Amino acid sequence: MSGHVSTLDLHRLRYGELSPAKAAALRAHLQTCELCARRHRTQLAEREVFALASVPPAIAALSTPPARGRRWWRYGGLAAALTAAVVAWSLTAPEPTDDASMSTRAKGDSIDLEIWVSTESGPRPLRPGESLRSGDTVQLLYDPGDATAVWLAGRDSDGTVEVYGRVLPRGSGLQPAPFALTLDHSSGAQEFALFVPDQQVTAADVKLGMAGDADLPGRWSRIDVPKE
Amino acid sequence: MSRLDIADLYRRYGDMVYGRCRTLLGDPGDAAEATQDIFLKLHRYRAGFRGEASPTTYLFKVTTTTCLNHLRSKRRRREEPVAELPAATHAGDSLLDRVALRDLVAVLLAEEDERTTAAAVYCFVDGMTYAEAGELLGVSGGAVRKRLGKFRQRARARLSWLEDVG
Repeated sequence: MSGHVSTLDLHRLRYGELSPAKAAALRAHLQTCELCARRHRTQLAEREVFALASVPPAIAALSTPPARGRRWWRYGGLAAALTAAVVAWSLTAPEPTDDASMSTRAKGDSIDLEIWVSTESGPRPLRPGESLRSGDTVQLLYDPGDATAVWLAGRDSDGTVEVYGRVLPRGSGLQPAPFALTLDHSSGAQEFALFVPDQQVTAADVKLGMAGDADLPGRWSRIDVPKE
Repeated sequence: MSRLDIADLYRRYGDMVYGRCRTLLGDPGDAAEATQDIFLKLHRYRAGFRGEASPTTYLFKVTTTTCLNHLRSKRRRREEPVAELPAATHAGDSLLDRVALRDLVAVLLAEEDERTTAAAVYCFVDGMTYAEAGELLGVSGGAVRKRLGKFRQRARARLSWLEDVG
């Protein structure tokens, strides 16, 4: 409508997303229109400056470079290890147990984390020393103490971290997370964690903290579980 | 399905997203923060992104929406005078100079709904046709023309250059 190349088309030209005919027409326009040529040069200059900058840590943390010789599902991390499927907890809501000897339970400074597993007869706490298996549906139970928000995360045997999300507790006391996880076929220890931050954090921060790459102010509660 | 590598996408498209944020937000710090937020969101909603035929178009649209929302919420939070709001906005690679862009954004944020604001930015700042803007907004080109026609009438007194651009 203005007789000039749109900003979006200038970008698409740079990224090679235009048809050959349209790209040729735009290049011809840039030869004769000083305004569009200047805008194009601005984009190219910004590109050069940007190329010198490093990727922000929060974004780099979301990207795990594949290790040589590994199969894709290995470096796919916990997303693959747990099928990345967050499913509705279709079973009877688990009732927290008061007997710590009966369940796999972690205790932080003032918070608890328990793992429950679904069975044909209903959900039950995972027993100490018991392994998880492929296809198991796992529910995390947590006690937030007086926290108003907590984070739940996991790490597979490769060390790859997945942050399941930020959860708003319904008061204090042991309670189920609003999701369940279906385990995939990879083996090795699985770590589950609850984090109660002392200040506002992002998922990227929690991921770094879970991986041990950042010392986040807050309380962690972790459980290591063997998986067959 | 292959893993979507956000860092690779950032290296490839980050300059476009950041440049767009700089143009619309003005402040380099705000632009850097918005750029990071956009890629973190992209990671969160990566399943939807994988189906995009044109990553550039998708990111351009998401970046525009994010920046306009940011400006709108900033204006609400600070209750600043409209004329002072986008004072730092620079023209970047837009078709408008700095003053015209600042005035347009100020009027849009003060008086127009989100869709009209986005349509005006696409057409007046980015030089899109009505049809192109409509494609990004999910409406027809005719609907964009009609919407911006009304906007022109309302804004003519304050934005004397509007007829020339449109």
